[in-house]
Amino acid sequence: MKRVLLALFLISFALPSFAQTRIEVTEGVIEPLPIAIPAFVAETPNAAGLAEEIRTIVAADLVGSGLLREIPREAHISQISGFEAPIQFQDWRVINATALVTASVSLSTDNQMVVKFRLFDVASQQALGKGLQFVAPQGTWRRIAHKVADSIYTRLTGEGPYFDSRIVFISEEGPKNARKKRLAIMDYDGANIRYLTGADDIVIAPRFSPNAKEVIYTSYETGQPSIFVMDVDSGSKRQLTTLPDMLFSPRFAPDGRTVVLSQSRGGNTDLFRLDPFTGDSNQLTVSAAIDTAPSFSPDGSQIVFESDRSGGQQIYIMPSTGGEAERISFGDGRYGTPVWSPRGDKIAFTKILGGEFYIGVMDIDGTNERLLTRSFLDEGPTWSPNGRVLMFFRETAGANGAPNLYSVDITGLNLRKVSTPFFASDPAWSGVLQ
Amino acid sequence: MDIGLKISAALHVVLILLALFGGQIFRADDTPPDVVTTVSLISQGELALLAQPQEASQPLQSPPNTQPETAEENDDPVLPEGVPDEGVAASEDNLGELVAEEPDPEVKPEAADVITNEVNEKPDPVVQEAPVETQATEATEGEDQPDEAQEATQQEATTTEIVTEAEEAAPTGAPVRTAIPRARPERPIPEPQPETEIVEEQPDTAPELSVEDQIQAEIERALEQALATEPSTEPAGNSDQGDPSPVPLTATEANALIFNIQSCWSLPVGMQNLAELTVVLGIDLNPQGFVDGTPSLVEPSSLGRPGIQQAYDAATRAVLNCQPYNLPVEKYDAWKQLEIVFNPEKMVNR
Repeated sequence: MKRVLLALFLISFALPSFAQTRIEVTEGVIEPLPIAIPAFVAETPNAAGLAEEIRTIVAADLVGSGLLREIPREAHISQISGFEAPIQFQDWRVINATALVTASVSLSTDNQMVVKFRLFDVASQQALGKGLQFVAPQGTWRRIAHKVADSIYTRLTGEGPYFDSRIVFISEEGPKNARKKRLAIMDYDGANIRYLTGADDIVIAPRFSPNAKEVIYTSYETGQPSIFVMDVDSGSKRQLTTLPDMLFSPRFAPDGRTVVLSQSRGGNTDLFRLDPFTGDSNQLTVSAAIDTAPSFSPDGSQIVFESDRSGGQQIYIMPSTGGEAERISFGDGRYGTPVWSPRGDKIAFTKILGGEFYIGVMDIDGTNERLLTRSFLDEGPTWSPNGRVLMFFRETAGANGAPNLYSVDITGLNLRKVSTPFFASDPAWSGVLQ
Repeated sequence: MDIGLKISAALHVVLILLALFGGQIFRADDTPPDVVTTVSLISQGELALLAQPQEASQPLQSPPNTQPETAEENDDPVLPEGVPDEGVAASEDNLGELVAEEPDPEVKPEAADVITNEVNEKPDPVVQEAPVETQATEATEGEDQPDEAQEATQQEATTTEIVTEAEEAAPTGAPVRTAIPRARPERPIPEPQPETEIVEEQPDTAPELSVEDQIQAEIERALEQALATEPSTEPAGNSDQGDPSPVPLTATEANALIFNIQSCWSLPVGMQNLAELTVVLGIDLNPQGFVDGTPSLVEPSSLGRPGIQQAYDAATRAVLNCQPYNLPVEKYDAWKQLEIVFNPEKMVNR
């Protein structure tokens, strides 16, 4: 008997334990990832200045996203002597770099530029993804810098790219009571600004075509608000339709084959679909209210718009071919200028409550409303191509009040003013350039 | 006779109890059953899975082992090759128009070498790459937007040189990654050891044999085995065979470890699907509290889902940046292998 018990006792010890200690971490820190971007190596003597300019743009893009923080170059222990030189990871780890960018730039005599870069994870001492090489004319160095930054940003954050994109907006000059408004286009960071219309035209509400090669907008040049489409490169423009009514808020569908707009007739404003090639139109909403500010869902199947059909200005969603509209905003105050996120999961909007304006986001069923900004006048949100950032304009109060462009992360963090030569309003973000 | 009968009856009872509750008794209290299946026992299917992508997993594990310090560049290629996940694929797709990959499957070299070789080998790199560029640009223009004259700024072209393999990256992407850092090879390799397996399998096998015979055989075998391996009474250490069940970490010790790691865990909030980016990392620790090898992705089974690559990276960074871990040496057996769940659900609306 004793032997048996002993055996059983020993069996319990002899059985191997498969115990695996498992712990769960549910809280983390919220802070930008520290990244080291040492000087880019100039592989040809004439590329030194260019290498530094590209590095500066890459760093500005990444830091501007709010998700990364650059470790000051004065803190660097190592330098990158050559693109292929071994990396002293310990030197980068000591200064708490999470990621390290190495890059080189060379310039041929015919001004052809070669930019190579790699991204490393310092802790694991491994390359993240593939290194890339861009060959392009020197004149495109800013776009190449944005593309390098997009690659790094995408790999580190999991978000889509957005630095290589453009903004079309209304540039405003002069005193408040006699302001001249011009249609303008620029890189997302305010560089390479170009004016598309003269100072005598009154233009409002520009939007890009899906391939960002055209801009559709409302102009008063015919004496009443009409819809025009302009080719961004050539500057040539055409009036989309000669309908006698006042037309506002035109937007291209994601496939570029349809335009939806507001048509004001006898004091009533409804949404219409318009074929931009034939000029054929059909009415989408029939109500005694003002239906305007439409925005397509990314798949083009639905439209979100604002309407005061229930008394106050609210946000509604309806099929893009027409049909019953469903109200999604039910909070206090009024809601306007809804814009569907390129991700498809959120609607950005302007909210007016208690004499103040807010930019906010909500899920497409109206839940999870979050207000991101608040001021005397914040209006007209537009999404970055990756659905992570919103740009809008903020107008200051008073006789000298004027609008400027701002961007904010969808977390509500990282509010930044976008630098423009003059006042600016009504921004619209393109997709990532092709 | 009576005694024999009683013994037999008692043993029957014991055996039945063992069959019913043995799993729970001999299992660590806080270990969920699926952990045991996934971690300790590797089925033939899993083994086959592991065997399949062996080419991918090899390079992934080898680099850290081979030359950690001297040839950092050797590490470069390894990850790129083994990381054809969604995130990377997406970013490279975006650049795809500008990028031409240089396939050379044979040459084992790393991305770094490829760049060098390529640049060096080509008599005049600039001239040679220009065609690649135009070709790439034309291709995309054709596909994406049949367009009129491109502005000069849009004519840039690119090449990826860096990657070594001529892989059909798209289709193989996710599965290849499955084989990633499985950092604990020894344990899973399954040669069916009756002594250990039986306890768990018993409910199935017991009825087939004569119970008494089985009990006798069991007792003899267990006795032999237990006596052979028995008395290692000193607490922890290098106990590869027959170690006593490890003394678990106390709640305080485990909490300290969690607090330590969460101070190093930084995940970009605001990601679209943050709540679904829970990852479980498996790590091996040496007695000094440093991570041995590359942390492995225990769950999910692949990096294919968008964002999982970044979640895995963030978790790996947290684990590596927080080392060494100051844990009680006498309980080494309890923490030499850890599974750490990184669950960002609570960080969603930060």
